[in-house]
Amino acid sequence: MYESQYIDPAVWEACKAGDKGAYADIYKLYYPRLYNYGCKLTDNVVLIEDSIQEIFVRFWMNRERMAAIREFRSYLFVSFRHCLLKLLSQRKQEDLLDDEQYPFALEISTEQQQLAKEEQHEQLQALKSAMEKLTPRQKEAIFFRFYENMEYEEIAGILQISVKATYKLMARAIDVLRDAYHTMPLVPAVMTLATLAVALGSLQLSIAILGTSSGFRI
Amino acid sequence: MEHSKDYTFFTTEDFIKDDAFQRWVKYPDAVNDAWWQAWLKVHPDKQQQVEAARAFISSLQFKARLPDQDAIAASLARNLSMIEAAERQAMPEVKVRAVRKLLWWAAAAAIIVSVVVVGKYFVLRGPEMMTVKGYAAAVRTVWLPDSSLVRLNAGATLSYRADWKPGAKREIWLKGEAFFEIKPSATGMRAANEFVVHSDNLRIDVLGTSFNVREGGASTTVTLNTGKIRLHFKELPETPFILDPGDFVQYQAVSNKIIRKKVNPSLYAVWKEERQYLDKVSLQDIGHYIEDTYSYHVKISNATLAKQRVSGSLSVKDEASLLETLSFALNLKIEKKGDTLFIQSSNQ
Repeated sequence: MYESQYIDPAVWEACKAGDKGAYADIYKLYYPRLYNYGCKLTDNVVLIEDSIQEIFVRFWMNRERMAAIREFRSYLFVSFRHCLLKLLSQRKQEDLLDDEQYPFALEISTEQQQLAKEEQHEQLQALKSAMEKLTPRQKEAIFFRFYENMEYEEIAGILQISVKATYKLMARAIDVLRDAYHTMPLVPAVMTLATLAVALGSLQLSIAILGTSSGFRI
Repeated sequence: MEHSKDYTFFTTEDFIKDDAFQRWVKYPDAVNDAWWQAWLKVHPDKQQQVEAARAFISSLQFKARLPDQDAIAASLARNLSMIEAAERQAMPEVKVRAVRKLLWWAAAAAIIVSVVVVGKYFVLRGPEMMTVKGYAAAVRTVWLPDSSLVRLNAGATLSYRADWKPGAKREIWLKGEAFFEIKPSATGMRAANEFVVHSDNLRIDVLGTSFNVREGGASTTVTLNTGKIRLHFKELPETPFILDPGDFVQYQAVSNKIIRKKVNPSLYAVWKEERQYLDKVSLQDIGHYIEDTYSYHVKISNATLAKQRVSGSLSVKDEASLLETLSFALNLKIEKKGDTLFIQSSNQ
């Protein structure tokens, strides 16, 4: 996914001491990731760019006060999210965006996955459509966990909910996805009809679950 | 790796939801891989659950929109120049030199003249200016030291004093076109912390928030989106104009004439976003905008067409792209004859 997920502590220290080369390294590491995340919240790349610019300038000006490298990633995502949502709500003025209603466009990618069997392809399609039925917050949690490789504590900080609530949010999201996806990697495809029936059954099940769960959100 | 958990009775679902398991599947490293391989050797009966959980987690791959190397480099370059600007404001060069000079004086004589020295120093040198030049063909976003936002249209230039201090009068000088979103100061818009925009032939006192200024060529135009501003034209010092949202004021230098009217202000700031959302704007209004902005005469073939309204995102980089978008969206035929644009429906 990324060549290096984390900032080298030496680079971090140099940056804090005022080394702009080190700062540039950090910028290059996080710019694509914030950009990608921003694209899930809006199509407006100008606002995404502006937000990234703003939070990095703020980071540089306050770098000496930054506590630990561990907290840096969530700091970036938290301030980026805040800044972007603010700009978006200013643009749309009064209506929408009470932080609960922003869309989050997370999509399963099928192109990169090498699929040996036809059934796997169908499973993936089912997963794809189940994905669309998750709430924006569920999608966002899934994104941070399975794309950004974040700890539950970090995700909780970004979404501004408790760690316990984050676990719940994730578990519920996984349940929805699991219902749409039936795994049988070790079982050879002998009972194609039977598995298809199961898959269909589970699809209906997932819709039923969504119907009840959409009423409450964390 | 600390694994205090007992995985003996884990189902596929349990594995899927387990932190350490997730990490191993998505981001295996030598340590966690060794641990799980060893665990599987001891628990061969769990192979199937583990594989099923693995397959599920592995299929969670998402579409990504990652900028290419050029885009990253361009963004970084922009950011470094913004940082430079921010640093100059945080630690103005002027200040440092003033202190140094002060010490030199103190060493030479006594400390009593410190205030005089600083004052004299400024008089001698004049304030240093920060200048931000717009891009050649794109809109540039500039944050002022007080967090006010300025969008500079292509070719515009903005300057302000390098020793900008929080709480002091905020003044900027503009050439070209810019859109301003002014941050109210913590104490409200008081005289001591007012915001003033200077251009060649006009001064704007900002009493509120967002507005557009187009300066250069034959005329200077100000449209106000929100808040309140006051205009002073240098040629007409006696008559300040107070603008409310939707007000349009244009000063024509040659004839020394002022036109004032009501417009849809978001149309006049349409250039500042890559795609600006417009809500039910009539073709008539757009025609007026084209007249005011690109100095054409616009003739719309009939009244019904003129009343037709457009809603949606509009991308307007320049005159050509505006006309093209417009003719496509409304199915129009637009013809240029001299300085007149004839607009009619393509169906006629």
